[in-house]
Amino acid sequence: MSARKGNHSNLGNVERPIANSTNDTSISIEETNRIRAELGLKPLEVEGQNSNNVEASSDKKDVHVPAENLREKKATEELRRKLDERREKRQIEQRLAQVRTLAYATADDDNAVSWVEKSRRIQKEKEEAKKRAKMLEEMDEAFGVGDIVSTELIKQKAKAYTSRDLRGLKVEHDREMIAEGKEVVLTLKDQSILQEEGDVLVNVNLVDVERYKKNNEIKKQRPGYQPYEEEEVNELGLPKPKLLLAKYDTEIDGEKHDSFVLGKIGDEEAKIKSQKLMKEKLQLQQKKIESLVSRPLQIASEYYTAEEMVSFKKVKRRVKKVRSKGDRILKADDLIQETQEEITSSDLGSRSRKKKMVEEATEDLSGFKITVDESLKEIRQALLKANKLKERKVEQWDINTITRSIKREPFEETEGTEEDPLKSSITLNATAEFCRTLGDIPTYGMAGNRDEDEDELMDFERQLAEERRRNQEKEERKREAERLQERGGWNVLERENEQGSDDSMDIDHNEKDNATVILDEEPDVGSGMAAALKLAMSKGYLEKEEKKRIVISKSAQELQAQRYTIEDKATEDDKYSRRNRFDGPVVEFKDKEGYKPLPKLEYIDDNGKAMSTKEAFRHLSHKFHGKGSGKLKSEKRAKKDEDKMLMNRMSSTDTPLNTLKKLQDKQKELQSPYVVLSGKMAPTSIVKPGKGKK
Amino acid sequence: MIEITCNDRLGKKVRVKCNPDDTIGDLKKLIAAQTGTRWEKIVLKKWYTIYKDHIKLEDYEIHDGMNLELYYQ
Repeated sequence: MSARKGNHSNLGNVERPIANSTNDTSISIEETNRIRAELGLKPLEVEGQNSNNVEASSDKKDVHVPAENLREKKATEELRRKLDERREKRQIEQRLAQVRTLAYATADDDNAVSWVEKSRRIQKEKEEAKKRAKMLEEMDEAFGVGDIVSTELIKQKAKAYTSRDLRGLKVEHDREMIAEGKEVVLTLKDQSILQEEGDVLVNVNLVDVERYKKNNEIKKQRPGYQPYEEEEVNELGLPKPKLLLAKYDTEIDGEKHDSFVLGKIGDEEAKIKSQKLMKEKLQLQQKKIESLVSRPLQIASEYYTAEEMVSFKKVKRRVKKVRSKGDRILKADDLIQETQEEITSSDLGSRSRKKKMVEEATEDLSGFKITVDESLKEIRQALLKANKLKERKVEQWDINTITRSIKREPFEETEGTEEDPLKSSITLNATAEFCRTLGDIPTYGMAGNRDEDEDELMDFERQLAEERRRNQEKEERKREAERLQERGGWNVLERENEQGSDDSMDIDHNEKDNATVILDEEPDVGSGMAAALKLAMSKGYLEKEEKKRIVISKSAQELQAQRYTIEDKATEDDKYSRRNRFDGPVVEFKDKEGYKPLPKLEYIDDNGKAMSTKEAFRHLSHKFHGKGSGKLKSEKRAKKDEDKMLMNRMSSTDTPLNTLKKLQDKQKELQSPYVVLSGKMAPTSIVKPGKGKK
Repeated sequence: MIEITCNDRLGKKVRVKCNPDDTIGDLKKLIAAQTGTRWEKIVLKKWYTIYKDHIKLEDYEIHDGMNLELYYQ
């Protein structure tokens, strides 16, 4: 192939040398240089053309450095070493050559004359030295220098640092660390410049020992929390006081060093002695003399001895504490009450009062008991009640009441009702208020509905329960007898009523009232509806719900009240209800006398249709098992249902396609008694209307 | 002076004389002058390394008589 000319190149009209022969094109150096000049490049560096160029190129050339011959190197080194050795030897030999040998010296002394000369010379020198010394001494004496020197010496001796100067210095080591009769070098401890404390002496070795000990202890230390740690004991056998987080003490207070002061030997010894004494004492204390001889054996007796009887504790009986007026601590309030009493009952004889007092005492005894271990709350309650009682007492100092109370003790029921309503005061405490709001006890806190004074001082629960019961009773009585002597209720109307009746009230009346409770006079039926209802109620035709409650006789009630608690009540109620449950209602169910239940179960399916027993069973069964019948079965059933429905709908007079009706309609429309059927026979055939269809 | 052979294996084989301290760009210009292609279109390669214009031949260790692959872009 021939090389082409680049006619469109930037070189323009440059003539291209045409390289032929092989595919290879190359141009000569000159040509290249020309091109390079045009391109702005330096000419080619051709060897031999330019000396400078050659040098430059030779510099650039890699120089082959022959590898080091190790053997040669070793050989040269060996050689050098040998040469050095030789040189040294020579030098030593030279030096030795100058020294005279022993043999040579003896040879020198053999000469007697020379030896004598030598010794004489030595002698002379000695004498001269002596002379010179003497001369100097004489001179010193002449000038008085000797005295000065001697005094200086003495002074210096005095100035010397002795053990006296060490007194008071502190040594920061344990005294026992420095053994007696052993030399220990103490140095001044490094201290900060600003520290104003005196110098402290330490021994470097001892410091090391101490550090070692400390490190050892740190290594031995167990983790901080030791729940079952035994108490540590110090050297005297006393238990060490356990400090809170003692491990941080060194970090907070800094390290503590044992130290002693030099020169205070007596002090130290005294200390040691006292320690020893303490130790001995403690050891003595810890020693307990225990005899090994056991007590002689005895036959165990079945009975207590007299001494044992003393220690034998009897079962403590509950102590009845008599709580009377005399027992109480006299207070200012009491005095006020006393004066009131005197004012109100100025005409009364002392005899009657005494009687009253006696009565009260007896009442109190029977009424309540206060055990020794009563809680504070109960005491407070009792006090409150006592307070109430006091007020009551004031009210009761009425002639009427006193006479009545003397006369009629058994009728306790009515006793309380006789007080003057004007004088009665209502004590409202939290509990009373609470009960009032409950609505159950409308007359709580009033004197009227309380018949016995002792009752007031009973336990709170018992009182409440009793009160409730009493109220029930009262209500019954109220129903039975219209005129119940209830007063002091919250109701204003009642109060008025009571006030009116109060004046005429006396013992006889009361008795009569009691009688009426039992034998009531029959209300007149003719007077009105209310009267009729009343009669019905009294006869038992009409019943209020509350009456159904079992009425407990009074004695039984009292008995119950003695040991009445809320828990008791609960259990009783429970029992009662249970019995009721099994026995059925006590009273007949009168509202539906003619009622006889007709047990009939009807099941209705999703469409609102009543199901047959079979269907109902299937339905329930499906529900129970949680899966219905399959698709086919349910479809089949649906179809059956549909057929049944259609069957029901189908009329008995017509075909299922209602042909008859259609025929009739057609006849009506055509106004003809017949119908023309289209077909082959066409118009000629006539159907008689009576026949209907063909 | 070294001589380098550039072959594009399409019928163009050029032997170029140059200095070892010439750059690849210079070499390309020389090649362009000899072959008639524009130097910007020339790519010089050896196996997979494409030689860059601003680097000298000696730095690429291109010696006398070496063969370079000539491509066009």
